[in-house]
Amino acid sequence: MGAISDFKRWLRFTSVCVAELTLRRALDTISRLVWRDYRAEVWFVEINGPRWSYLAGHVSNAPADADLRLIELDDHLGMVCSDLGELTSAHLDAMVDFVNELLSERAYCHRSQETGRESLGGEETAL
Amino acid sequence: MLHNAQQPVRPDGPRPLKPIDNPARFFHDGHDFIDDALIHELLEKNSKPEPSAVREVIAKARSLQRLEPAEAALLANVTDEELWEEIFAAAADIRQHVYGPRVVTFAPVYCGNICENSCLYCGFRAENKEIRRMLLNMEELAEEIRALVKLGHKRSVLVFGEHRRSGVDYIQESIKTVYNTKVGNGEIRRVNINAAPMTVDDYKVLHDVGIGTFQVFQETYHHETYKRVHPRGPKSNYPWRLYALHRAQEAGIDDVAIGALLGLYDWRFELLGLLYHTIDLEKTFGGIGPHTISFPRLRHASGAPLCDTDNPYLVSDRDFLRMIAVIRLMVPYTGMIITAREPREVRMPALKNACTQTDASTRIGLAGYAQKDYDQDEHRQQFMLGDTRELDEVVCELAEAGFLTSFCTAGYRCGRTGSSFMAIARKGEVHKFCIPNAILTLAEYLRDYASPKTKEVGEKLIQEKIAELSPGMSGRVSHLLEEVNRGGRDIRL
Repeated sequence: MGAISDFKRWLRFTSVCVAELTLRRALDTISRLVWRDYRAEVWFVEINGPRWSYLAGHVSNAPADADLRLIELDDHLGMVCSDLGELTSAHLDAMVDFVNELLSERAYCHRSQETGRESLGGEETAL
Repeated sequence: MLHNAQQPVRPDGPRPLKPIDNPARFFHDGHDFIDDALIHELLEKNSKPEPSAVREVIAKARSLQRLEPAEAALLANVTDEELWEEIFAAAADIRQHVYGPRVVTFAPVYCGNICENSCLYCGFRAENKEIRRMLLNMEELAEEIRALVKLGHKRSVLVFGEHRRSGVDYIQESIKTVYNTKVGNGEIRRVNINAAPMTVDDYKVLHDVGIGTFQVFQETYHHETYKRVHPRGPKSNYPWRLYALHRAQEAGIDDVAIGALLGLYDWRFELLGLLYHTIDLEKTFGGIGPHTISFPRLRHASGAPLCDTDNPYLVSDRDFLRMIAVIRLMVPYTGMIITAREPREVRMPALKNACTQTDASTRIGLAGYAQKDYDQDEHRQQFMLGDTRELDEVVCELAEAGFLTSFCTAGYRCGRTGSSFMAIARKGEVHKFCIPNAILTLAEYLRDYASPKTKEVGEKLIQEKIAELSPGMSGRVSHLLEEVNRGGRDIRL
């Protein structure tokens, strides 16, 4: 298990890797890299009412008896962790902070009927 | 109280159309994906299948690979009884391997029966003067849902006729009403929709309020028959309906459901139509095919001329069960729904051999659930049901046959939808996630709603199924069951 500081360095490096990608692809890449490097399974979902729709990320044959962690990043975007792999809860918290930063950098906003802004669901949208 | 439709139904009248999204944009080489001549040719070419070829196809299906149309045609043409027994056995094994011993249960709620279409087989057709037209308002719908919840249901499919008064805004309000209706510990946790095809923008509205699955059945894939049985109304547009679920997927609805109404044309043709539909969705959307397939058989319907004719395409019980087994082999990883249209004698073998979902305590007359002493009424419903048993009786019968009735809705509340779900389903691992949650939701049902007999049979089954889990999982489920016993609800892995 790496130190939190090492993991944060890894996150900073990852942020450079995904800088030019659309938000959806960026989330997908982050998920795949954290699986590749830490064997942690984390994927992203779009939240609409009770429905959490798969949006991006690596989903493998996660162990069915793993604790599924459902993390609401905001009202419309969530993160699901089915396997921490080599990470700890503290690493996962760091990852949540990192994704939240990424979202605010991209000025992410969910399409709503009021604003008419674009959603992450359906056709990919560059945000 | 119900209110009658305020405006007369005008099948040929003007329609406040939005700009139509031309379905031809999905075509390949200028045609839709149903090539009638090719399907007939495949059925003809494979009309006398060699046993060795049939066994090769069965072996392929057992490896959980989707079959090709020629292979499905081969199975559909088998005449040898022994080979059919092998097909049935393979279907039952695949069903057990992929889905485990569970049956997902739901209840349909008809929200309205006003319709602009003229389908010759449907009691809701615009020309039918015998039926009483109704559209539930939101309080009436909430009343229906409260009645359903009191029976123990957790999933529902809302059904709508095709009419401007029951368009996207009405459907959106209906979904919100259902999710907001609670009775004690109970609530509907997943709302699926069966409605007319929509534009991408309209689908997005439904996506945003948390729709479960969107169902559109093509009814018949045979172009000429389609034209004949849908003479007027928006439904007469074959490609608009054929690509309805492509547009839904574009809007982000990644759980879609297809179906064919058996009895309009040759069932073997419809079988291949369903397969071509699956293949085109998979090709277009990165492997995401239909979440479920339905195959209702034509039933008597008031005021529907096709139901009163001598029909050469009616499907016998025997052929129906054969078709169902072939679908199980053809798409091993896709859910299959058998409904209360079918009598009990057909439903049970279908569930054992292939099907994964069914409805119970079904009342398809408008406002039927809220009505005491309800009886089927052909002037109030789309067609007549073959099995009207209560949920408790169905749960008990399934438990006696070794099946867990599942009220689970966990998958779509944790991102196991679309490609994420398909990845698991294709590996045949749905059961790994779903059996524990099926146990927990059945336990919830038994404690809150079941009769003493059902409770006894159900509790015994739950203990047996827990004992079959891995030691780690069995411990976890037992621990969570204690939470349910202490009054915890919606407990899930």
